[in-house]
Amino acid sequence: MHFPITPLIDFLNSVICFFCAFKLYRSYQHEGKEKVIKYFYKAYKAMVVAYLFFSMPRLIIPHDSFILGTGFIMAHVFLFLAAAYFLMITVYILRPNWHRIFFWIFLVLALGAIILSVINLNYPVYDTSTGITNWNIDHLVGLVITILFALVLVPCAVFYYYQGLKSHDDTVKVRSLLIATGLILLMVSAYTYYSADTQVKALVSDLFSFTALLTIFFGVYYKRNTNLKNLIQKI
Amino acid sequence: MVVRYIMVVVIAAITMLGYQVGFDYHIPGILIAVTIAFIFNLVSSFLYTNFNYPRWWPYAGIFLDMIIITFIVHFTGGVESVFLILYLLQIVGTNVHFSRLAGPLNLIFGATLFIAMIALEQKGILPHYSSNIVPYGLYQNLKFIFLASLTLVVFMGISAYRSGYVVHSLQTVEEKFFKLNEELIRTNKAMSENNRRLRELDQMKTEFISVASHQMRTPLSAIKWIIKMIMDGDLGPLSQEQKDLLAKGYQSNERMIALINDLLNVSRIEEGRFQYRMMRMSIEDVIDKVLEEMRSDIRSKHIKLRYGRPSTPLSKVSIDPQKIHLVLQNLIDNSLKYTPSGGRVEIGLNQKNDELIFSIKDNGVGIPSSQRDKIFSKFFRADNVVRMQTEGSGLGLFIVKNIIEAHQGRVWFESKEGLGCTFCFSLPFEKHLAKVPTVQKFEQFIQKI
Repeated sequence: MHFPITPLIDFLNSVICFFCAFKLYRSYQHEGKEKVIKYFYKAYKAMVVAYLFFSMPRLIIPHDSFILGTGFIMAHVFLFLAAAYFLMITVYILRPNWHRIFFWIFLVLALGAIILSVINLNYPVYDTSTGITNWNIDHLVGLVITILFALVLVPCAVFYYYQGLKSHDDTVKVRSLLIATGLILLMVSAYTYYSADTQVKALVSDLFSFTALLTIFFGVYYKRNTNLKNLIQKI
Repeated sequence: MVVRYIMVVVIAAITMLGYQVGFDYHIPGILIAVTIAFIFNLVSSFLYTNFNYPRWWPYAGIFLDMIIITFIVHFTGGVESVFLILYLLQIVGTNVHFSRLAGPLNLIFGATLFIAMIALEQKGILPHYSSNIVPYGLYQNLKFIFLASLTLVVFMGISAYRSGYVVHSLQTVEEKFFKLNEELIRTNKAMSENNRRLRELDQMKTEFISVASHQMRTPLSAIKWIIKMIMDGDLGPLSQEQKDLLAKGYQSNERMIALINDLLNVSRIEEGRFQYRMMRMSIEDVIDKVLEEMRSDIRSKHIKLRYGRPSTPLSKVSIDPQKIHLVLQNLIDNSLKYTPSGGRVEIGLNQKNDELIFSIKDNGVGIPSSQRDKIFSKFFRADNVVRMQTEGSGLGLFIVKNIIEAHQGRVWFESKEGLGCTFCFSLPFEKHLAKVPTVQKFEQFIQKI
């Protein structure tokens, strides 16, 4: 049996998301329980579960296509939930009164996509000789899911880029640019993931998602703590 | 920390790429090595942010890095590996981030690991993962591995020495910098203390002005109405001479009331008690009202006033009409005061880039170029104006600036001494105002995560 590359990358993704969720939970507790931080934390919590659903079946029962398929569907339920929270954050900052409406509209669309993917489920195949999973995603399902993720990730990334560049605070600038870049990389990862028809493309999309989450991780953990800043604070 | 994450990703990506283009790397071994480095980094992040980590922990990190590098070099072809340069990077990194002793120790450790690895590969004790690109058996050629390891160790030594030297020089400069900064902090503390005392005195002065002005305004108002009654003949008929004298007294009293009102406004601004009641309305209504009130002054000075109304109605702005009334009154009054009889005053109003721009241009005395910086300061009056012996407290433009800035607008002027000046202010439209909180909300959110 070959080294399980793609399940391990997905497992690492869930570890990264866990650390992000942990940091955000602490920020939520310490920063006066702000609603918007709670949504960010919940988005990462959902992503931890999503990536566990992606990776665990392939690490534990790699030969059972039914379990892999179920894991794939369940993972998408949580990925859509995470995307809905991301959308909610952006709308909350722009128009606080509309954030719940957008959240539920997106979840309704996501429910449609989930139903579509259950109907058109092609069971995935895990190639134990290479350690790479071929998800056999139906073309229509892939297209719908990519569009749904694009609807959230692209505007969110543009919003983070725009607001980050407008900000005069260097830490805010770096953090938001990193998060925006991570979101764009996630979009690229989603596109390659749902259009992957070879094992190499599946591996590349996993590497993209890993890089994307790592970039967001840097954004969440980034703290400019130079000696000069300490000095200014001292003054 | 971040560099280690980047290194992990870059190494994983390059080895994958190498594997795809035909290098026969041992991918599982490489992934295990980078995963160990990654997990160590995650644990370190967790420890550094949440606990008092042991002092040896970062040192364990740099020695673990050397082990990981040796693993990667081993799995990518040993002495033939393209990743040998990682040893040099590690030495430089250690010198930059750790003590001067850590660099040489890491050098000895890394060189020992490398030499041990290629020796064990040469003896066949460790498997050799040939890249299938370089000639077969190069790793068994003693002359090659001797020269390769010698070159690597020598360059590791040079890197350790040079980077150590640079870091030491930087530390010396930094120490000097910090000494100077400590001096600066001490001076700053002394200045802050003086500043605090000055602020206290200023506060006391403001309170005094506020109380005194309040106390004075009541009797002045009483005097005003008494004079008015006498002038109107309520207490019997007056001679022309008596009327003239009373008129002068009445005007002087009015000036005193105006000055006290200005002082009260300034003290309210400084104490943060200047209350704004914002409402969406057209500024043209306020301009019309002010011009109507000042009509007699304009006529008496024979000033040719031209008000360039916008051809299309302007959007409404969020303003406190009373405060904007005060602004317009001050600006128009200044133009009238400092423009000679028979002069011209032009008022303009237009919309530009989400902003409403008001301008008032006169051909009066203008402002000396050397005194432009002080024109919005409290109690400041330009030399040429003082020489004219005109009335004025020097508070009007200070009040104007504060009111406009409270409306999130700007105030500015252009002037040539002797030729007149143009004062302008801008007020943002609602759409423009709405953008500001979004940036602030976003910044707060990002800062808090």
